[in-house]
Amino acid sequence: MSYQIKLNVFEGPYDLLLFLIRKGEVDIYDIPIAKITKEYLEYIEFLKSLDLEIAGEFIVVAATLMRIKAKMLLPVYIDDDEEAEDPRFELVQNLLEYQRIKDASFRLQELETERRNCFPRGKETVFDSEAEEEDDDYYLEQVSVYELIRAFNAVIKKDPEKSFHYIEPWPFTIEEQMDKILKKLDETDKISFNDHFVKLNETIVIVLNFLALLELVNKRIIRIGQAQPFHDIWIYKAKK
Amino acid sequence: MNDHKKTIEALIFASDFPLSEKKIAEIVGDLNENDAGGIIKEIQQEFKELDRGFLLEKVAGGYEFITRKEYSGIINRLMAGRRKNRLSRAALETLALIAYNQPITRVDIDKVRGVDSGGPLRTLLERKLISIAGREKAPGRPLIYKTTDDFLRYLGLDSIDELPKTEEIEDILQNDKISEELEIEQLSVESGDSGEEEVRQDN
Repeated sequence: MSYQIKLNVFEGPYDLLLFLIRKGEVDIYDIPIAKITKEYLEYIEFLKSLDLEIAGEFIVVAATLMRIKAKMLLPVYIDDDEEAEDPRFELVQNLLEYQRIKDASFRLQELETERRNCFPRGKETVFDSEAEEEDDDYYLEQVSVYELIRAFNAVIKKDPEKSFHYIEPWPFTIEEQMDKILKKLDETDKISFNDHFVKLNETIVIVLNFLALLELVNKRIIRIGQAQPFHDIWIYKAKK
Repeated sequence: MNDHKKTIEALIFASDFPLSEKKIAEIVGDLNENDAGGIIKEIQQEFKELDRGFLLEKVAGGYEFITRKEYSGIINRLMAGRRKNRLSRAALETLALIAYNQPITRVDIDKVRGVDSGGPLRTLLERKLISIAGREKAPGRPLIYKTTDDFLRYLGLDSIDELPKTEEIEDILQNDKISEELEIEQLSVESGDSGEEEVRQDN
């Protein structure tokens, strides 16, 4: 079940493609398009099998790959003076450009790391500010479906499987769990996703809680945020 | 002259943003930019020689006192929970694109990244690392973005020219392995500020 990690590694379709190219140790200027397209589509299928909504960007690139593949299968009429353009050309340019920026982003990160070791005198905007005290989730990034699924998987795994089962009516409803979450949020201003779910002992309650959480987010009654990938997810009341 | 030295030192000490020679000359009055620059160099040298816990550094076109990196661990204890997070991968990619291609529209950013960059752009704007530079004279008059002085300060750069040069594409492809390693590192590093081994030479 290592796929949860993988999902988070890719920043987008180009990132995934570069990964496949690197993994297959193929020349970026001579991409074996059939092979890469196959692997790419397998990944998309895999996402589908998880019932994840596939981001539109991934589909666009899938379509591009298939168009290139089709073009390469067709015979090309070569004019004597003109050289036929490689159908892969544009995609390769995009990939190289993305790779360049990805590389640059790692250098910026190195600078960031270095600079974070030095503290300037006085108030600095990049550090703690009044704005943050008022709104301490100020810098949290939006949580993606992947992050939520990952967090959900983590808590559900903590529940050891019962070796018996019998059917009985369970006295829990999503509405009830929604109320509970909201009540909790009345007492404190944020709830840790892990803390909240760890305290639940039955799988069905965990599932209902998760559904309740999604429902509340959907209704914009609560918000969820996360400081960094793999960090705990925080649950907040949405601002009016 | 000695008096000017103390004056400048006091000004930089009290300022909440890096002070430029120009600003100092403006405030002090009977001092020109060049002289101010000379005196600052002297102060810089003195602090270095005195071997104090902090230094006078040039950043974002001005001067400010910053602590020596050796003390980051202990200062982090003081600042615990009050520091802003490191930037996410998405935000760093977006920031790199803007830094190297500014001014740039969102459409161009999305095109290179292959994904929607609305979220990271908002984060960067909120953190004042980028700002809106105006609108492009193109259909729809899209907004264009550029980096700010806070961006320079955030990365400890004096000017945008100090950004690491982007290598030739061939070089980058050879460096793939390095990026891969960094990626793995990234997963394990999380937010830990301590344990940075690299020691930068102060100048």
